[in-house]
Amino acid sequence: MTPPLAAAVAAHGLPSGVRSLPDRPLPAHQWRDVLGDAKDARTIGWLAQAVDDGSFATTEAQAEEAYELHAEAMGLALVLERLLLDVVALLSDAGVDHRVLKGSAVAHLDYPDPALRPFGDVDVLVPAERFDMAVATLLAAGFVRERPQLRPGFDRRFAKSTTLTSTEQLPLDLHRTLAAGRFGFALDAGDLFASSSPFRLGGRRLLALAPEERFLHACYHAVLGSPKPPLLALRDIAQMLLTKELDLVGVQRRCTAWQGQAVLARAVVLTWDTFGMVEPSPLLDWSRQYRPDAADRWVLRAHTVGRSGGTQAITAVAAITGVRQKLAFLWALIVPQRAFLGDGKARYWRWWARGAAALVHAVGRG
Amino acid sequence: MSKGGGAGLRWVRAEGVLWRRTQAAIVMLTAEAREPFSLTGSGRSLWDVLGDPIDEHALCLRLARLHGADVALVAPAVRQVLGDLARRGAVVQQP
Repeated sequence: MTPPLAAAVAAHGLPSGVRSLPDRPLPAHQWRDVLGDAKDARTIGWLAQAVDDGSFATTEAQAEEAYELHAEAMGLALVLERLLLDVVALLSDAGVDHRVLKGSAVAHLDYPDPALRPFGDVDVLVPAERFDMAVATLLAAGFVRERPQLRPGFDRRFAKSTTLTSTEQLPLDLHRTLAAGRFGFALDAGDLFASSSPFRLGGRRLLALAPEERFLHACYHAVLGSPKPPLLALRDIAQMLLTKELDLVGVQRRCTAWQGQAVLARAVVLTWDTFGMVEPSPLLDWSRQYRPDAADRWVLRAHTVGRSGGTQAITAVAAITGVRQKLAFLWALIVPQRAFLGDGKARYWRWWARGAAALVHAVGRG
Repeated sequence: MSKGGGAGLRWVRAEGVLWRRTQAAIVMLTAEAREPFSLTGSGRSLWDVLGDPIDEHALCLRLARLHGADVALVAPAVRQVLGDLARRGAVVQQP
């Protein structure tokens, strides 16, 4: 599947998507690629919709395949939502405040039909000061950490999130903040609990981030979450900007407080360019004119073309407040606990060599 | 499901059931189940109607009208599906 077609599928239904979809059924091998990409990129909801409304021409058999794949994706979403309800119940019983992030929250709050928006894991934000309690609660309920933390207390103080696995082998990302590296440290995650957007799920009332913060989180995820911006995150951005009444002044105010203007500008431009959108937006005008400074460009590179966890960690140091905190962060990176590395001196040296390489790379690029 | 269709009782979706409507099916997961299951065909319109409480006779009439079918033919199928959904915990009866 060529990138424009993948983007056209992901843009289906947007007010100003201009990319075109096939007007006659694709040959079998191309159709297989379309299905595979829609599954991997989690854009199957829009593919199924486009097939159903006739925008994407298919044979009857191809249409059935798309619908079946969509139903499978929705089955997974439901299983994950059951997990989400269990997690929320556990955290609530333990008195841990929380906000549902991404997948289920965005599907229910930002789309006219949650069936359009698949997801592959559960993401929940908890306050940093309650992070250890949240992890202990989940471990006691049978969840397993993907790996030990770098040093005791590291995740509560410095990590973006901790990945846990449920007894049914389902993934849960427990977040302390919304992004790794400097951009994550620059935002005050505690503020995210001052407001919320409620939604109902399985008879329960859950809390997600407020709309402006949900939008900014989508931007952070799109730009900082992986080397190549995920189509799903870009679609979320377009969806929130074009179909919801976002308070753009509020977005800009929060973004400035988070020192995330470079992320916001890049996310908006990427979204418009990827989907070939023509809809005017004051935020787009601002984004196209925004010029990140050298420090921001360096940090963005650490999350994109020059992506490495080590480099991202190094970018974080400047944003960590207090000398003791900085030293604790660096000490954990330099001397992780044995449980984190596993057995054997070789693992320690490999870890250290990777860190040194990241430092050299960061200094070289910086 | 109560015997005789639960006279005076109305059927409605269970509060705890999670579900999605897709082009081919209603995919759902009940509070008791580990695996999702699907309602296909005319079961999709039955699920739509169950968004609000409705007694079985009225449900059969609605579906018969919707699908242009004889209510006498629709009723046994509706009862069977309701029984299955109730066993799975996807629908409940209420006064």
